[in-house]
Amino acid sequence: MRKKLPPQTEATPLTEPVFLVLLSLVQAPRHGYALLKDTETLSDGRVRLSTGTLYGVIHRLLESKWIERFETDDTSRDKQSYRLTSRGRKFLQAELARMKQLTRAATACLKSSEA
Amino acid sequence: MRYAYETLLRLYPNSYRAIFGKEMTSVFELATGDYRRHGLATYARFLCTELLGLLTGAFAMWTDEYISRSRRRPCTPFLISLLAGAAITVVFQGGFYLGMGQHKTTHAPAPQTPQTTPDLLLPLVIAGGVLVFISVFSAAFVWNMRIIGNRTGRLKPIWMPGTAASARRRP
Repeated sequence: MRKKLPPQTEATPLTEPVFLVLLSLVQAPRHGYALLKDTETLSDGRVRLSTGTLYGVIHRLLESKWIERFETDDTSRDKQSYRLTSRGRKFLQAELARMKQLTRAATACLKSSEA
Repeated sequence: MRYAYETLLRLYPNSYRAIFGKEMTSVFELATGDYRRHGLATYARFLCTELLGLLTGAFAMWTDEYISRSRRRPCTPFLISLLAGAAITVVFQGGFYLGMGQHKTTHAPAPQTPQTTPDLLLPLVIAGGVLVFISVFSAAFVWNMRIIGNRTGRLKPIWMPGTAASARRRP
């Protein structure tokens, strides 16, 4: 049987919803509705995830073990909390480094074109 | 609205719905209450986004499901059916070309008379292409019928060996 590859690897950049969800979970474990609101806040209201998109992202992140379910006192079938794993944190840091490098390169290009 | 949402959730695969269905409905209800307070336009936009998100999400989940199932399923029978189709095509086409070659040599026109028969190369190539297309299409059709029969357990096409038995195993 072929080995199943994780949906996101180091080579592929993260999509914006995935990035925002991971960023939201860096601060604290959250449940679905809190993630929905937090992604909106983090993107200054620019990104409004639908429940279909949000749970698609959560499903993929759970499969690739970037996030995990987190048991809290009010955990029920309707209200599950999620938290970032160390693997997810590592990939988020790699993505941030990639974005920083891109920003540096873009800034340098713009400066040289203006000069 | 909850009923409409739960109905649309049926578009998702069962396995996915069993894990996230209740949670998604609960989040949708909370978000509905929140967006309703922001006015009709915002609420309508929210509903449109939800509908679009559900449709694209269901499509993505079915694609994932299909890919993971096809990974689990060995592809040897599919390759064998393709190869068998190709072999049948080659045999028929080879026979046809050989027959035409023999016909040309036995009924060759005299060197003095001008050639009146039209060039058969183009029709032969077209006929060959059609044969290849039909064989590949039929192999793919049979394979899809097997998949559908196995998945639903209701079609049970008895003319395919092994399908009925494997369909019976599933609940």
